[in-house]
Amino acid sequence: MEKTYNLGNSVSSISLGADIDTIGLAASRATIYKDGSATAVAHSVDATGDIANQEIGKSNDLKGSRLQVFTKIALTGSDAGLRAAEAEQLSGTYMLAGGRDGLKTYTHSTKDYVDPNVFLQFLVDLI
Amino acid sequence: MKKYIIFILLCAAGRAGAQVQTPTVSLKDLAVPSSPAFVITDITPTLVQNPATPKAFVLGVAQSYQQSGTGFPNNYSAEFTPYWWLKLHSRSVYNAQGIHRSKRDTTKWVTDPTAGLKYTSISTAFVNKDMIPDTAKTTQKVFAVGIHATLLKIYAKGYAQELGGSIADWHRAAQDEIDNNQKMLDALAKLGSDPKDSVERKKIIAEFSQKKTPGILENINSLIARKPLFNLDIAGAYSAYGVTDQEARTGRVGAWTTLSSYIPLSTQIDNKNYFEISASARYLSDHFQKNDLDQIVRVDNTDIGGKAGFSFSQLSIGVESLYRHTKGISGGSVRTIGIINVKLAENLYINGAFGKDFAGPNKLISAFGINWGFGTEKVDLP
Repeated sequence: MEKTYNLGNSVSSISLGADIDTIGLAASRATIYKDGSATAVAHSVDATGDIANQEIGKSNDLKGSRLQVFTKIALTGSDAGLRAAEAEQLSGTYMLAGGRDGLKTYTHSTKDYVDPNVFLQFLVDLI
Repeated sequence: MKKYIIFILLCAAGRAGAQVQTPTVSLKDLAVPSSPAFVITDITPTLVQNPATPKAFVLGVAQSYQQSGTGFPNNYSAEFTPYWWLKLHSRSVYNAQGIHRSKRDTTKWVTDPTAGLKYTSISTAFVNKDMIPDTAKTTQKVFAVGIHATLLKIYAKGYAQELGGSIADWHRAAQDEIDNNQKMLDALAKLGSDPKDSVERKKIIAEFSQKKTPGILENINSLIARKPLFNLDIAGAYSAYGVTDQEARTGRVGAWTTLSSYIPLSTQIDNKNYFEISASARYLSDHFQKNDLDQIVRVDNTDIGGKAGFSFSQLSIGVESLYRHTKGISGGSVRTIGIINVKLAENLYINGAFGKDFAGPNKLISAFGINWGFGTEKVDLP
């Protein structure tokens, strides 16, 4: 069961922001899955991997969909021990706003380390 | 010294002078130590704690305190960088590498010469050791704390632009790869994030196809490994000895600084050949040192040295000179030697030195050694 974000019944704009905390190279993509189709709605613009707070759609359009924020991180440097330590420490923080739940912050992304890469995935069901 | 050297096969020393005297200080001793608290107490701890949080550090000290049963943490050594303790949420590859966009022209990248300051590290040691050169063999409770920082790191013109451009290339390539792996992303979204599905998730992620990013990452790693045009490091350390159960006195106080310059001998991105020149200075005040009259007094030592030479992947050759002034014991003296290191095979190194020693006007030093170890390091000037 995924975490949820309650959009409510209005037609307000829903916004998303992502803060990727790493010293590695990061690239993020946000995708909405609804009725069997995938639509990219936001992405990072530099290697911070952060997604600046931006509108991803109207609440009535997003209702019943699943939001995914996928981040690929490449860890730099030749020291495998330091890369492993950074893989342990890095994290993602995700913010949704505009719905009935107001501003809600999530930190529960999954993390998979395949040296030198780390893959973060944040999933939330928009209800 | 090579990180992985495990065995010295041969070390022979000859001398052209009339008297043998091993210098008590070398230029390497003057270089800024990464763990000054260990250096000032002459310890090489086999187990150094690297606490990831302030809580872990306090718990480590407390645990050592409890285990010792002497009211003093016993043989506890730790080294940490407070920056890593902070959850700033502002960490990025850009601030880690000390580059940012120019305020005047946002298409340009510039370096921050003081970016290394945030990685200032602190070392601490609690040891029971006989640090006082008297006839008694009793140990003292010794506490030492040290700090190490890189004050300045200045790269050659164009470095920031090259690194910033490569990072931008990586980001574009990574976005393309995410596009091209849409089916994998779909499968991940469908699977969900339940921890019980982690094995399945790893299987899906293993299918992530990469094209350009590994090559660009390799270039970025070469740029990150590039030596700066100028580098200024400093370190300081303080130690106190528990001379009685009730009284602690200052033991040693030390300060180090090293200014280095590395001039690349090639414009290739993975260049490892440099002309190096550096100057080091060390001040060491020891409150418990024997003077010429065999009395235990405070002695202040000031050492200044420098070296210059060429460093290639298979060979390094250079000259180093060291001036030592010891207040309270004797006058200043100079040691100047030529040094050579040759990499014979992947794990086999020969090093040699020849020159004038501290001992007097006609004293020469010659040394030759072979080191055998593991690793693929290049040969650096010592």
